[in-house]
This record gives sequence, structure tokens and C-alpha cells, in this order.
Amino acid sequence: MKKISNTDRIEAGNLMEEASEIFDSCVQCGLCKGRCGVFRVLREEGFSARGKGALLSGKIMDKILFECNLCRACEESCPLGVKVCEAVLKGREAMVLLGRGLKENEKMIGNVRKTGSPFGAKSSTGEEKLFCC
Amino acid sequence: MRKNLLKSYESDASRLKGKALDVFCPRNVDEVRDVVLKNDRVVIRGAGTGLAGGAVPQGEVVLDLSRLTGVSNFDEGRKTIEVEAGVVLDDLQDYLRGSDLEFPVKPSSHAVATIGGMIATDAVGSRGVKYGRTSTWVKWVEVMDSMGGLEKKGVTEMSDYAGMEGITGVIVRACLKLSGIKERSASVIRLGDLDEVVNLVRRLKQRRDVSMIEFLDRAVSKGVGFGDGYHLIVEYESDDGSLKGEDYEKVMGIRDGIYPFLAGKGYIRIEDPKIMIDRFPKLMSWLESKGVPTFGHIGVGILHPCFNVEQEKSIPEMMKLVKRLGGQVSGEHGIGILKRGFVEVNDQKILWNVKKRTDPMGKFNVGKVI
Ligand SMILES: Cc1cc2nc3c(=O)[nH]c(=O)nc-3n(C[C@H](O)[C@H](O)[C@H](O)COP(=O)(O)OP(=O)(O)OC[C@H]3O[C@@H](n4cnc5c(N)ncnc54)[C@H](O)[C@@H]3O)c2cc1C
Repeated sequence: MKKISNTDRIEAGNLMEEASEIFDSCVQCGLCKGRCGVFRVLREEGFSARGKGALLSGKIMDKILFECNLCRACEESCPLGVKVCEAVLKGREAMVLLGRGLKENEKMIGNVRKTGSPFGAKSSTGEEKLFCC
Repeated sequence: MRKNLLKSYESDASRLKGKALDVFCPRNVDEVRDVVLKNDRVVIRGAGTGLAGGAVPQGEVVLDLSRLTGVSNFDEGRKTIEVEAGVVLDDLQDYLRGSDLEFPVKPSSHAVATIGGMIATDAVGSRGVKYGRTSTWVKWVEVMDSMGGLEKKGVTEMSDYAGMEGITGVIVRACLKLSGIKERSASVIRLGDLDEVVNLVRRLKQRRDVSMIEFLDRAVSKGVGFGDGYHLIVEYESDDGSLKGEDYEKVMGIRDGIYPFLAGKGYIRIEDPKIMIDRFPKLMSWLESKGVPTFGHIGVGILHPCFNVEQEKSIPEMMKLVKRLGGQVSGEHGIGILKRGFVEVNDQKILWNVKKRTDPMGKFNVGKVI
């Protein structure tokens, strides 16, 4: 298991605080659910912006934060313009800092670093290689 | 459900907080039955847009019906359609697009509210002046009782379920009546005082083409950008309104956003007293004296005063005034948890009798309404 530095721990805590603050202005009307592509398919509150807001407000880190297309449809239907995607990104960043990111994402980044392809296969067609910091 | 995720089910649009033991999201009626049979106490949930806390669990499991989205037996000739409880109103309207029909009741939460939730609260909404309550447009409901039994209930038994906020059983399916789609336009009318409002509302109600009369007090009018004075948003099922096409859509969008706008300013607690139009100025004067911004479906006498935290303590006083003026404490949002204390003793007795008859085991929505 990756050792987490104190700086990362503090940074993650700050990010969760900021994510939770973004939802301070959410009035929980639920209108964000109407246009959320993920909610409309999976139909569980946790996938909606309001559901994620409930988690982030309670500083709960769950992999469901990665189940969001960041398409901003929820922000458009939010009468108060809550910056949901910003909050979700902060939540994800905090999780990654604490070594709680998605295994699939870590593998993809590893592949890009190693081979230049997210799938890990060396490009035979001479396609442009991807880079990751 | 993963423990972490229960948090997103522990509240609804009322913002009351509760505690969920677990959450189930069945995909079909058999799975609903499974949840009902395996749990002693169940809180039923649609989209969770209710404003009285009806879907907020208090240590029970939550039965979320959002995945029951089947639509069947659309009969254009008879103007009926069968829908499962989790179908969202706007999705139903999308489904009907291409035909000449629509479901005419329109709560401002139409983009997310489920048909099950609308029947359970007997939602009214802004077109109430022409189309009445949701139950007016329901031919039958199919209801699951605490033993998992399914039964269709027609118009004569509808009042045991419509408006009962889930305390009597789970509505799993309904047959809805539809209405012909109309060309619509709207006008925003500025008025100087409350008597003018009353007079105009009376006149508008005489017209058959008026399908919405929405009131905005001075504070709300200013807040949404209409300027000074009181305002009425009037929807016409003709081209008599001055706003058409995109302008019409824009004003409807403004109307739907009023509550979230006020809630965002701290006026979070929305109430829904219903009052006769001639008594409305008295109630309004009281609300204005307390600085409570108010809007609502004045065409059917339902007002939505919105209170901030400091003003909340004056709600019982408002309820007393409403009753003194011959009104009802809840015109459309229901009683849920928030308004239990305001139900008259006689009404409580009637509700308990219905509850005992329909849910003798006391399984559904315990601690709600009564
Ligand atoms: C912005 C906004 C605007 C609104 N505007 C209006 C309006 O104009 N008019 C109006 O009337 N209301 C309005 N409401 C209130 C609310 O949207 C309606 O009451 C709506 O009908 C609730 O539907 P829902 O699916 O969200 O139900 P929920 O909130 O999930 O549930 C409401 C109640 O019904 C019960 N219930 C839900 N589904 C079932 C079922 N299948 N079987 C049995 N019981 C069930 C629940 O237990 C709960 O008691 C508004 C709310 C918001 C947030």
C-alpha cells in the first residue's frame, strides 16, 4: 500500500473541505437529476449531483465520485448554479492523493507512461504517443 | 447498498435529515414485493422532491421506485396510458411527443418528480386552475400492500392512496388519463395592490382558455427581475398571451425556478397554505408584515410563503391564521413529517382509520402524516 505523506493528507483534507463548501449553496431541490445522463441510466440517488453533494457535504469519499461524466448538465439545470463538477473533481483529487483513486485509472496512467497508449499495447500503426507527467 | 451511499437517501427536498438502514432500488414489481416482505418498516421514495419530508427515513429501509420506468398500453383513442411508479413526468411527456396528447398536471418539479410521487402527494402545480389535482387524471392505481398483495384500485377507492403520501401502500403502476396538447402563450401582468390582484384573478378564472394564474409578491417579483409591484404570470391556451415560443418558455423557466431561487437566499422553509381568494389579502398582509416572500398558484388559492430560519418560529401563527380564515394548512405538498403537528384531531382520526384498514401491520411510512 502506498505511504501517504502528511502534505498529501493535509491537501486531501483541504480539497474535501472545498468540495463540501461548494455544496453549501445547494438547496437539495433535486432539479439536477432531470438532465444527469448517469442518473437517468442508473437511477440511484448517489449517481445524481444532489446525491454526490450529500456525500461530499459529509466528507464521504466513495468511488461513486468517479461515476460522473463532468458534462455539466446538472449545473445547467441547477437554479443556483452550484459548481457540481468542480466539487466532484476536488473529491476525486483528494481520493487520488490518499491512494483511493480507481485501480483502472492508475493502470491506464501506468500504461500511458510505459507505452504511450492507455491500453498498454505499443502502437503498431505509428499513431501519436500519449504522455503523462 | 454500499453503506457510504446511504447518506444520499437520508434527506429530500425538505432538507430534513434522517437515517436509512438500507436502500433498495427494485427493477420490477417482484423485486418490490421482495423488499416489502423482507422488511418490517419501509419508507417509499420517488424522486425525493417532496417538501414535507415524506420520503425521509427515520431508521427504516428506503424503497426507491425510480427504476420502475415501464410505460405500456398507450391508447390514443381512449386517451389513456399505463405507467410504472418511477416514470418521471417530463419523460412521460417526451414519450407522448408525436401524439397529440399530454399529462396536463404540472408541478414545478416536472423535470424530476415521479408519477408515483405525484399521485401519493396528489400534486397540483401551476395548471391546477384548469386541470385540478393529479388524482383527477388517474383511472386506477395498482397498489402493493404489506403482505405483497397487488390490487387495482379505481376512482372510488382512489382517496385511500392519492394524497396519502405512501402511508397506505406502495403505488407500483397507474393508468393515467391524458389531455389534448394546446398551443400556449403567457403574459406577465403587473398590479399595484392586493385588491387588484383579487379582482383580476376572479376575472381570469371565468375564462376557459386560462390554464395558469401564478402570483408573485413584491419581493419575489423584484428578485426574479420583474420589477416593482405584484405580478401574475398567466398562461393562456390560446394566443392571447403576449409571450410566445422562446419567450413563453423563458417565463415558465423563471416560474419553475422561484423556490430554488428563494431557498438560495436563505428562505428555505416553503409552506403551501390554501385559502379562498377573498381571504387572500388578509393572509398576504400578515406575510408582508413578517417579511416572508410569497408566490404561488393563486388560481387555486395555494400560496407558497418561504421562511428563513429566523422567521420559521412564526409558522404556527400563520397556520392559526390560515385556519381562522377557513383555509387548509397544506394545499399540495402534503403533511409528511414537517406538518404533522398541524393536522386537526378529527382529520387524524379519519387518517388513522384508513391507515389501519389499508396497512394494519404499520409497515409503510411510519411517523409520516399521522
Ligand atoms: C422545485 C420544486 C417545485 C415543486 N413544485 C410543486 C408544485 O408545483 N406542486 C406540487 O404539488 N408539488 C411541488 N413540489 C413538491 C414535489 O415535487 C411533489 O410533491 C412531487 O409530486 C413529489 O414527487 P417525488 O417523485 O419527488 O416524490 P417523493 O418526494 O419521493 O415522495 C413524496 C411522498 O410520496 C410518497 N411516495 C412516493 N412515491 C410513492 C409510491 N410509488 N407509492 C406510494 N407512496 C409514494 C413518499 O413516501 C413521500 O411521502 C415541488 C418540489 C420542488 C423541489
